[in-house]
Amino acid sequence: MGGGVKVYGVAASPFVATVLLCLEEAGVEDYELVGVDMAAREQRTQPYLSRNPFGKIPTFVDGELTLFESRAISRYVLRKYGRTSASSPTTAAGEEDLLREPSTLEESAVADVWTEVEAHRYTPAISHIVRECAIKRLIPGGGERDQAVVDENVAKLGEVLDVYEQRLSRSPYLAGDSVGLADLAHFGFTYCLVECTEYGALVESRPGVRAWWGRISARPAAKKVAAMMNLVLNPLKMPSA
Amino acid sequence: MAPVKLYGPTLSWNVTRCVAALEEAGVEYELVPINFGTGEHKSPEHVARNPFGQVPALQDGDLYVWESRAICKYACRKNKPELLKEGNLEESAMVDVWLEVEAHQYTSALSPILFECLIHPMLGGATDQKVIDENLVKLKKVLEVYEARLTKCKYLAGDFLSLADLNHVSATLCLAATPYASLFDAYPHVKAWWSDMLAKPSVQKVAALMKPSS
Repeated sequence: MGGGVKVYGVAASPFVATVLLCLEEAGVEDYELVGVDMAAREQRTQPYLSRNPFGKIPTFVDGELTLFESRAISRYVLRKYGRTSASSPTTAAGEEDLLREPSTLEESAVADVWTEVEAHRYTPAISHIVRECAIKRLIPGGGERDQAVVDENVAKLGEVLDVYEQRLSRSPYLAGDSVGLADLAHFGFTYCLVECTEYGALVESRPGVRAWWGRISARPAAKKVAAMMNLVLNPLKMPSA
Repeated sequence: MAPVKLYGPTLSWNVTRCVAALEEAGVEYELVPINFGTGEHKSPEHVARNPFGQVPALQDGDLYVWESRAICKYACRKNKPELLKEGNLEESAMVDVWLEVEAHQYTSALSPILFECLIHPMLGGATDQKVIDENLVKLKKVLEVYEARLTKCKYLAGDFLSLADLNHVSATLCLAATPYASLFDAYPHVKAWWSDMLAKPSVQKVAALMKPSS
């Protein structure tokens, strides 16, 4: 299953990580991660641009279909390959929760709300912190950390996480009782924040958020993707407390 | 069925993004203004609808939905799901791609331009031309991609109208009030796509709503 599925990008990119996570969750075994030479700006040149005219990673190919934008790719992967309780008949009731698509109008609305929150409130703030504190150090000529940018975004992310805390104190997942893409889309950047910056306390200090992060990062698929990210990020890993 | 309530000022292109979707999906709605001047957006009543204390927010019975693009999807799912093509794996994937592109490539470049031209002066600040110029460069690159796309397809996701097209309407309508109203002239297929959108009754309703009251 999944022969001919290619993801173009690098695992250390949180956006690529979202797609990899969904492929792993869906049990797609034979996908190929095709490296892109970011240092040489391969993503801004042909032939990459003929697949993704916006010159960003990830790009995704499944046979004749080419997609870009990580959340669009992720939705497609889950729809096409996603396991549901119907397709895994041996799964006993109460076993590790499966990622499944919302089935009611209300569930869809909640899933969409929190996916938008991730895209427009969480990720913009956290990505600045991760870029300044971790990514810049990895890129030759990446430049010095801009602490003012970090401080501004730490404050913003804190406010966002206060709202998350309210939600996650009442619900195990953002999507509801079961994990959803809305939750998983947070994995890549949160992993970088917690493992590669000194700002993990933003997550660790909020009990509901901490517990949610614990659940997500304990998923076997998340551990697999973390290992892939570690290949690049390892030198940056924070010593555990 | 009671009309849904959409909270927020029509000045906001995030609010009117929802109006375009509600209109095209044929969902009955009621617009409820929110008074930022009195801090109504931070009132407990409104924070119960949108925990970030922002607009828009939508109420449908017991359900609250917030974030404009989540509201737009809700409108389509509720009444006109063909605007999302969710029954079709590949078509829905294309809709999702171009929904993301609107948010993260197009509107992300356009809204700082709109803010500097239209909102910043209203708040008593000076228009930052540097911000406008930087984002115009980005936006033009995006429009080049759109031009190539719309040369191949009538609409962004394919030869069918989808929410991906509609989500562009509110911010693009605001361009008309800036010095960059003729930005699309250099991109004939984009211009044709936009003319097609402008002719839709749903889009005309949004345009009428956004006109400053005389």
